[in-house]
Amino acid sequence: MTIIGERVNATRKRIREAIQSRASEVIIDEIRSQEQSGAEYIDLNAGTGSGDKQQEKTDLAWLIDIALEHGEKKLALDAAGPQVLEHAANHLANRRPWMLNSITGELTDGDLAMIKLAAEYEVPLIALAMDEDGIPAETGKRIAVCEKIRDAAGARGVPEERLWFDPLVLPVSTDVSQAMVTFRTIEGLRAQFPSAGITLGLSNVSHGLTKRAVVNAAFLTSAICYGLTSAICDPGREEISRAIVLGELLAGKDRFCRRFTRAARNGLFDVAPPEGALRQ
Amino acid sequence: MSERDMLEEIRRSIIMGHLDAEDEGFDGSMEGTPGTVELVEEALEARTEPQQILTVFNAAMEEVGRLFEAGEYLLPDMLASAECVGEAMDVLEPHLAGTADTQKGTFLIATVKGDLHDIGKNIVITMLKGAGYQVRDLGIDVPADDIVAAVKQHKPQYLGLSALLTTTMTEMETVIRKLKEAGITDVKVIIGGAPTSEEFAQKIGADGHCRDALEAVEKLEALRSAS
Ligand code: B1M
Ligand SMILES: Nc1nc2c(c(=O)[nH]1)N[C@@H](CNc1ccc(C(=O)N[C@@H](CCC(=O)O)C(=O)O)cc1)CN2
Repeated sequence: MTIIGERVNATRKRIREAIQSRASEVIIDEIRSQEQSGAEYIDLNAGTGSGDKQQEKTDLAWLIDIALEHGEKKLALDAAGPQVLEHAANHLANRRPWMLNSITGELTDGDLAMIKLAAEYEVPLIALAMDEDGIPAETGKRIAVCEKIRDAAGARGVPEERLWFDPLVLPVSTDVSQAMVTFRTIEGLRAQFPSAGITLGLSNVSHGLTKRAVVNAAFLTSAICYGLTSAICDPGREEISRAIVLGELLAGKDRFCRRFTRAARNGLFDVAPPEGALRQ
Repeated sequence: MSERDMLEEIRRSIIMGHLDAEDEGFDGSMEGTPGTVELVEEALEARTEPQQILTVFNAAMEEVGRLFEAGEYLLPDMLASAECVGEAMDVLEPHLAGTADTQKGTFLIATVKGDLHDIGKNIVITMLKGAGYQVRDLGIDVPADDIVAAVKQHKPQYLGLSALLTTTMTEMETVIRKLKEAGITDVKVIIGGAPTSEEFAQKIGADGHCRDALEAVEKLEALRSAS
């Protein structure tokens, strides 16, 4: 499982404020703690939603500089628009292994430019299973979108193994059938594109619910069983660590159950003592 | 490295379930260091007696059983060690095999019904092949009726039964009874496996008990010269 650490994202108030006030220590702290918790990639997203692309470019470049100086893990450049991503890619200039997050099956000129960028730099590219009509409600259509993306990418020099499909997750709070739609999409993608990666933004599933961490964890364990290879999430949460170990165990990816038994011996599954018990 | 150190390395490697250099081992730290397979190859290259290496397998698995009993090892840890020995046996086998001498006779062996342990049985097989017997392996968890049918079909001079559990050793008695019921009297039955004993063998009407694989060879030689 490849963890893409989600925390450096301007949709979070803490990050948005840090970006605006150039409080680099906040960003450094988030990067370091995610790296220590096992993130393989650090997602960098400077989109505040203001729509000011010029500002987002400058902000993302600032985040990249901090990550280069204070972190050591790979970077996932995360932005909606191709101009921002292109600018970020050129700013980064391969000084660190990285990936592009993301394009959609709309395959606009911007998407195609991203594909060419991924081909040129030979980096992984995340592609969302949606197109101009939005997120298809059904599995079959999501997979069809991915097929279209695969063809477009293949024709422009991005091989299947550098495509990471995002089946997309919609909250179960508004439609209880959505988790299964994502699972079935993962299963279909795994079967049809065996060498492609499959990743997703985990926390969407629990949007609007309570006890979100537990829901996210159960969802992650199941998704791994269906063939998920990566997740964009907060690696610092113990629920996530547990969910991954359990998912790989049940998916048959943990030879001799070693990672599970080791985690258990290290106390990962021990129930936290009640409040106050740790104080003398 | 001295031979003693080398054998100790093999023992440790089996206990850690460290199959080969690509395997991470019990504690997850051993990837990239020689595992059981490489160590056994190394020992053979240094001209260690294959028999010597076999005794290490026994010692290592005994320790694994102890760790399991103490609750330190779980079932999959035991399996990892078992796989080490299995793979190591494949490396060792060509060095133990003699030329099959049909005159020495045919030996049929099985782990009895309900029992999945096969490491000991496989060592016995390798040793007997090495000693020149024609060996036919029926595998693990073999029902008594299947064993009787195989004896009828292949007409071996010798039948070996293996059981590692106190709950499955009684199955050996069933096999011997069913052989008698089928009117088969000319096959010599020898048994083995940790919970079995000479006394138990006599009680169920077996022709011999073997503490280990070496004794299996000796018992067969004795039975052969007696016949
Ligand atoms: C002529 O015919 C002959 C002649 C000589 C013969 C012969 C036949 N058969 C054997 N010999 C003789 O020659 C051999 C070579 O010198 C010798 O063979 P051995 O097999 O004795 O020696 C081998 C070279 C090395 N020894 C071994 O390979 C056995 C090692 C131990 C650790 C062991 C192992 C590895 C396993 N196990 Co099992 N296991 C244990 C064992 C502990 C121990 N101290 O023995 C024992 C036997 N297991 C035990 C248990 C409880 C179990 N196991 C189980 C499972 C397993 C594994 C699958 C994980 C694995 C076996 C893998 C495999 N491919 O064989 C389960 C049962 C499965 C089943 N239905 O069979 C399970 C029930 C565990 C569970 N909770 O599920 C215990 C039995 C207790 C009892 N009272 O019966 C046990 C003593 C461990 C313990 N200390 O608790 C001689 O006995
Ligand atoms: N390819 C792909 N990339 C993505 C997403 C996706 O799906 N797919 N979705 C996002 C994943 N990243 C985050 C980052 C932070 C948070 C986050 O922190 N959420 C808080 C609340 C956010 C807030 O402060 O409002 C929560 O509790 O869920 C959630 C997802 C962005 N990138």
